[in-house]
Amino acid sequence: MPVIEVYPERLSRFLGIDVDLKQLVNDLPWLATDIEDVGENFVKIEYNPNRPDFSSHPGIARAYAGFLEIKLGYPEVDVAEPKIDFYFNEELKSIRGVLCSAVVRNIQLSEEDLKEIINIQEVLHQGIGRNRRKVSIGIHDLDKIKPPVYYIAADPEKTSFKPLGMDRSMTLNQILSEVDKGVEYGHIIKSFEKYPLIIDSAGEVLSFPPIINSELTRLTPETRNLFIDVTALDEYYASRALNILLYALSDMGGSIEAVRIIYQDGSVKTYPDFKPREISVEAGYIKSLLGEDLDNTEIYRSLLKCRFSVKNDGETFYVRIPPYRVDVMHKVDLVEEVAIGHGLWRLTPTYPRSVTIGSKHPETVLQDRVRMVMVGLGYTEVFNFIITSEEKNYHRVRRPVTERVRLANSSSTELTMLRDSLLPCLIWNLSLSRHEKYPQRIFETGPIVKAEGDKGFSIKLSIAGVSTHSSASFSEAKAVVLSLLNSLGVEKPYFEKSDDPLFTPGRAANVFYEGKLLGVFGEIHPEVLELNGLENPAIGFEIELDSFINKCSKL
Amino acid sequence: MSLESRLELEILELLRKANRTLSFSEICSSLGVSESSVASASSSLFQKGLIELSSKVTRHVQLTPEGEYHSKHGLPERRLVKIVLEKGGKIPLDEAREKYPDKPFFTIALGWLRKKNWGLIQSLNGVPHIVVEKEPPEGLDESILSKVSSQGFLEQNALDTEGVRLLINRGLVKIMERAERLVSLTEAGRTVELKIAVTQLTPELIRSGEWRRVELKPYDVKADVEPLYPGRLHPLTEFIKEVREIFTEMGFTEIKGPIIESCFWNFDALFTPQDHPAREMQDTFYLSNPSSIELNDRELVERVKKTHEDGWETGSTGWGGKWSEDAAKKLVLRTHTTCVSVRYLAEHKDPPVKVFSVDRVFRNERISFKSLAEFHQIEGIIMDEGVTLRDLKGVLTQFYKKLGLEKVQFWPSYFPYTEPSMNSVVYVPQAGRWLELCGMGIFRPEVTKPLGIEHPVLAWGGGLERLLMLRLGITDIRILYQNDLGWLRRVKTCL
Repeated sequence: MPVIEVYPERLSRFLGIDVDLKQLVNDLPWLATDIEDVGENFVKIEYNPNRPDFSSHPGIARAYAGFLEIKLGYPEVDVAEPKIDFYFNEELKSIRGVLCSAVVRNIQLSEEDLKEIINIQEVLHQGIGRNRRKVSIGIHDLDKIKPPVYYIAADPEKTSFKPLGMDRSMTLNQILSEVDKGVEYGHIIKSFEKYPLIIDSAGEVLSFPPIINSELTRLTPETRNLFIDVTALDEYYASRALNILLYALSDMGGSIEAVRIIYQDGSVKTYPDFKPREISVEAGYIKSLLGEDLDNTEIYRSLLKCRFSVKNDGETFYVRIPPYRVDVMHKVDLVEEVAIGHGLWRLTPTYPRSVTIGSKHPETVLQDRVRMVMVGLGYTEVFNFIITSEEKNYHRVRRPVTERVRLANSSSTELTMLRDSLLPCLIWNLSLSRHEKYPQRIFETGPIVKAEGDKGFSIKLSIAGVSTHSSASFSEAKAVVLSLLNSLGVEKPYFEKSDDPLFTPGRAANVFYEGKLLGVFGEIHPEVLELNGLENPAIGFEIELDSFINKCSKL
Repeated sequence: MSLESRLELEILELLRKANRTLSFSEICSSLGVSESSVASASSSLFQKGLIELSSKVTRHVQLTPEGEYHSKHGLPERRLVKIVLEKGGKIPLDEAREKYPDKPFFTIALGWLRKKNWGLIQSLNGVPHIVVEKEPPEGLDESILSKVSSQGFLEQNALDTEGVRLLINRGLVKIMERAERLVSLTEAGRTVELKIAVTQLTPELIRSGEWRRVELKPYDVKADVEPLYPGRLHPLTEFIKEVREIFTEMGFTEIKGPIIESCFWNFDALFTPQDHPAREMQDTFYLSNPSSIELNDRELVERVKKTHEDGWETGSTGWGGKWSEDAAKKLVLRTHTTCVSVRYLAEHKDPPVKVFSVDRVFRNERISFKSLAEFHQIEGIIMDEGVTLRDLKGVLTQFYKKLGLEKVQFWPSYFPYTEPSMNSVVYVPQAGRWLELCGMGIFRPEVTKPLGIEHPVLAWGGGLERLLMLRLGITDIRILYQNDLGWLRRVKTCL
């Protein structure tokens, strides 16, 4: 989740009143943020990805001002008529087909403002921009540009410019292979023959979206006017990203001016799109979900505190959503806003009225009983991961690699597949405790996963145990298995020799009941002991429990 | 009073019976044991204050080798008398010398014969004869010699008699001095009840009733013993059981579901957009074999698809864009147990439904002291007519109370599938601070409506291990899955 360090002094500038650190620590959690850390002169908060407008001090101040009732209702921002045209080349439709833009004039950016703008941009890139794939933003010094501006598809080999932070001109392909940002984000456009590019009327490159801007239009403390481009795959999120940035720049003192996007077919769209969405919600709906009998005035006031504009017509509230909010999709989202505006702490706990009877899952009932039997036999329970590796599951216990359920995207060679048996990990566990007192006896019960053909798998409930000491032998294993099975109601199991290579040949058996294979046990093969660094003889068993589920809770 | 051995008991009993001081040698001969055994038993009895030990220098006679010889064969003069009497009381001296078996002693025999007046030398027909009138009675010296030889000692009062002096003078016995150790009962020794101390109570002692006559030796209760390790449940199991019991006490039914799940149930049915970061490869484990599964409920798939794209009939805007069924068919290791709850709700639409699960979930995360790729999630769901956000607060407050956490705060939060959403922050006394625990909320209409659920669904969930770590006071989550037997044997049970 994104984080931001909030400085009371800077926040006060946007709030219009002074707040101190202590107050922030108390209040900010009520705006759905988490206090991560409190520094000497800042509070570090984590905010939810549905509120990218919290990526700056002005954004937080906007919400906080409502909470403090300094400013209520919808924050209006004026937009001046467009003066600059931005031409959209049709070729881009299939490459990166959404373009939004705006101009900010007469802004004086402090160093902190500049840092904050870059932070907003980063958060938008990562969050709703989905790491620039869906939305990316370029911010330029307008005075370095000769409008109009063109969004074109450029030849990666023949086009070159000096990218931000570099001291020489490079082709687009060079940028993708040599510049950090190119290497990081090149995959977004690499599959296309031509790459998106933004140039001005003099042919100078402003930006190579979504990769990098040009050095030419770099922002400096002297920059007074900004030109912003947003290229994207999705119009809604592109325009929201632009709005979030513009609201912050407006709060920093800039004047917003629209830009005209002119398409090849002659159609025109003007951005920014500050038109609010309107959602209506009924008082009854709010009250029924919150369980609080709020009157209309309280609902109204709560919504204003959350910076909405509201019209109330008896039962229904017509709510206009500011254009920097991306999280309001349904009237239910307004219910939460009312709860926040009203103060979540004011909703006292109640308890649901329905009477219900609780119960445990039959699998749990079985497992708990089997656990008690094993503990009674002197075995200590262990918990291993279900994700394992071929090395652990097969090689280290002499078992041949068979069909198995594999992970597609593990970053670790130790996590590659799902265990199909509990025994291998149990044997490995013993290697950690060679200096412990003997006998050592451990067991585990839990799911194992067997692959069944290309498309299938089955999940089984299993129990396994191992015991190691200087005189561990087949008869001990058999006695334990018989004792366990007896407690499960198995009267006369029968045995046949097993050739599971985990065990010593001739000293392992399969156990059957009513014609069904239940499991295997025996003396663990000396080579397996050696592979796991064990120096005492050991026995092991594993029994499948599925056929016993539901049995032990019936009369 | 307990005694170390049967010998101690026997010594005391002997002393009581004799009712006088006894010497070691007396005890030895009465009990038929060696002097060293008597010595060690006596020293133990002395330490217990049951006897007094003293010693007295005593004299006793001992046969010289010559005395030894004569005790076997008789004194030389006696042997001579016998020869003379065999010849009718008169025998020529030369013949007697001839007949005497031990030549060297003949002169001695003749000397003592005359000295004791047992006979005379008389000249008969010019030939010297030994004349003995009758068999002389046993002399004092003879009786002492035979007594010393048969019983090995003489009473002290016999030591200074004429006979002894005689024998000493003749070099047949000598007087030796010896320090004799003496044992006498103390007052305690006379009166105390006597029992033998026994270390191990045996079946034999119980069966024979002998245990009544022995005293079971007290132990040094502070002495160390070998540690003993019982078979034990894993602390995770203990804690899961505790949580499970809380749920069942509160009227919840446990549900389970597969650990392998389609993206459809893990994400799409929960209104998680298909390009949500949580669905990316670096957060979720996808399977390669098998990699996908068919979605059989066509109507449900269609409703979910529409809900994602434009909100369908839910009143939502949806996420926009195109929803891909191929993406939904992909198999993942479930990233939460909420998919289990949603599957259950899809099949149980009649209120009230109160279910829970405490089960394994998976995240493609780097394993570190604070995160694992596999862990347990606690999850609770209430679907019922008219349940509210305040009810959710109430249920959680009760839940935490049962875990011993009394101070709870609820802060607003965000989850893709709940609205309103809250976080519970709990004051943990052991840690001395507030800690964020469960996330919760009411399922969005975009989740419930496609499933055909008509009533609000309260849901909450959180990690189990974090709570357990607080309980156990550990800061490295990996310890829980390390299975170090040393730790498992010694860790304090969490209940």
